[in-house]
Amino acid sequence: MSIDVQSFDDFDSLQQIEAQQSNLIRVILEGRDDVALFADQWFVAEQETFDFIEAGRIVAGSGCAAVFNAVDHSLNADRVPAIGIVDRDVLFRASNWEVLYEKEHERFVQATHSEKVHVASLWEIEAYLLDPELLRNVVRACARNAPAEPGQMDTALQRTLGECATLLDIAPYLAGKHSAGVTVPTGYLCNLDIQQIQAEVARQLLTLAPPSNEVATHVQGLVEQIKAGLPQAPDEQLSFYLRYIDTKRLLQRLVHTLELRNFTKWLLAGLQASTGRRPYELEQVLERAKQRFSIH
Amino acid sequence: MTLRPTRFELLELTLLDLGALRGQRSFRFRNENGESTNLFMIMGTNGAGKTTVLDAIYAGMRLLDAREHDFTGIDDIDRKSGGLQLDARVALDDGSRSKLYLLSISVGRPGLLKRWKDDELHEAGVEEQIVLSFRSRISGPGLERSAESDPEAIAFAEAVLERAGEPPAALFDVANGYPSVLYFPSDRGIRRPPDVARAITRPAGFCYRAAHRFDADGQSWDASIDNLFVWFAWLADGREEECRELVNHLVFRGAKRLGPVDRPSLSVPVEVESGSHRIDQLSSGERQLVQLIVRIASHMTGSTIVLIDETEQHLHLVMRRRLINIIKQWACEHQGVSFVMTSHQVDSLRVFAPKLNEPGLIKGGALLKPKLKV
Repeated sequence: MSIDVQSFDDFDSLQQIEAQQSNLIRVILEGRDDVALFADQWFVAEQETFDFIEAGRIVAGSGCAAVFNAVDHSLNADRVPAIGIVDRDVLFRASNWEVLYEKEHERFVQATHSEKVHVASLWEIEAYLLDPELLRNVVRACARNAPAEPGQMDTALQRTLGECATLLDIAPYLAGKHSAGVTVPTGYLCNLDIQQIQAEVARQLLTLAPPSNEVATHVQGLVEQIKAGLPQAPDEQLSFYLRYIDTKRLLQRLVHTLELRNFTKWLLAGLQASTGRRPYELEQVLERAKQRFSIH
Repeated sequence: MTLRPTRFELLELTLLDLGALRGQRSFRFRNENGESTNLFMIMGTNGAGKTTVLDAIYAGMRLLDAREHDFTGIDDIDRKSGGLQLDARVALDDGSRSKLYLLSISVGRPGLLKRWKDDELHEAGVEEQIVLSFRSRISGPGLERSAESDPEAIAFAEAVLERAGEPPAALFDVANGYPSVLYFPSDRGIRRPPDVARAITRPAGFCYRAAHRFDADGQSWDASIDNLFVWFAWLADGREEECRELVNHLVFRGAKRLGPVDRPSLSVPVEVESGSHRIDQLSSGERQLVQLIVRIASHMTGSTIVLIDETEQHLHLVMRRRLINIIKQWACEHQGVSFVMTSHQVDSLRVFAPKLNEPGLIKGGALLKPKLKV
């Protein structure tokens, strides 16, 4: 083991000394909630190797852009080993439709591969909380009219998949609006049923002007390919959908569909914690970082 | 030649192949203006060599306590595979004038590790480098001061030896400019001294020496904190009250109180709400704080390097912060006293505030850790 001796004079700030002395690999995440999931739930024991940190604590700004900047800052200015993890929806914001709606997972991994920043395969970090097996428990814990009927619990996954399909259907419209510089609120059409939504979205699509309508058409084609590749097993379908649909919109819709009092990611987090499960994909990201920055 | 040291400031330490620190490594204890640091914090991972640095300073200074030694106490040097050089700015007074030198104490392989260049000497404000080297004994195992050492360096070492054994005249004896190091290794603290030996006894090691090491006090009665208080009480020169006041003011702050020496039992009571207890019954954190404060105040000279390993061990957050503040306060108040400490605590680093300019403090530090690929 070779030891580095660095004078405090070699550092620009107290924060740099702190970061260096910890001898931990920084895992830079988009927000505080992501840090809470990593540090307080999924990878508690791994904190002997990793420091889970919000990008905004290293550089100005927030979100995925800050993650990229913070990783660069860590590696080049602070000289602290670091990786970043960003949501898949970074591709939505970048209008990178081909990669965002890539139906083949391997091709997605290839297209987004980076030593520095991992792009999550699911839409956002909280999507990793949605285990198919947990949905029964969600209904049991939060049914608006408690106690929940067995039938309500048994059909939770099926009804959730229905919502996923709806949200995938409106993806071309959301892409078109994004291209027009308009953000569609998370609660958009939340109180309408599937037929009503489809009718409304079809009407709205006709109002899009070029090039937004071209974007919507392009995404429509990609979505059709995704639908064609939908797995058979319901369990697999959920994780497949979660790559392409906005998790926050889904959670909001599920409050209505599953007839819940409320439904937050923290409820999901609590339920998942009791099963001891954690996302294998993210576990692998950390393992690769450990190998990459191994002590020499 | 008679030369009396009036000032001694550590400027640099160079090590060769000691412990985890392989190759030649240097630690600068001065700022860019050549001023010596009076606060230096070493941080780093376990096993990276923090304690090795303190051991090396102590071993280098301990060489001043005799002309010959059986060993240095550092295995790599005693096995002749490593070496160290301790560089200090010393003011030597020949009775008519004082002159500044760069004194290099050198021991082990391969001898002098660094010859200072003219511009470095100029930056340090000294005219020349003088070397005090210790070599393997020709006549058998162990070490001896080399006759090839510079005459001024030998005269300095002889002056230190001549002064050795003199009892300190006062607490915070800054009038004495002779060099000393007070080393508090990580196994320090206060133990219960054996009851059978209690008597008014001259405390062991209570005298000027170039190097003091304070492990756990109290293994014998004469080396105990209780006996030091008893001795001060017997001298009746105010040191007992002053020492108690220091502890009560700096450590206890009204929560408890160190009472006057109980003469029948020759012990120092700690007065608490429910009564009183022995000093060795304090918590381990409090014991080490009391030891640090009493020993530093009692043994320091005007050219003292205090070495503290694992500075905040056993201490709660509040006490950790308090200790760093006490150290900063003493470094500021007592010119000629410097602290070199090791720490793992980010919190201590924050209170130390390496990048904050504070009046009276010249700070430095080093980070020791395994190399990571970045």
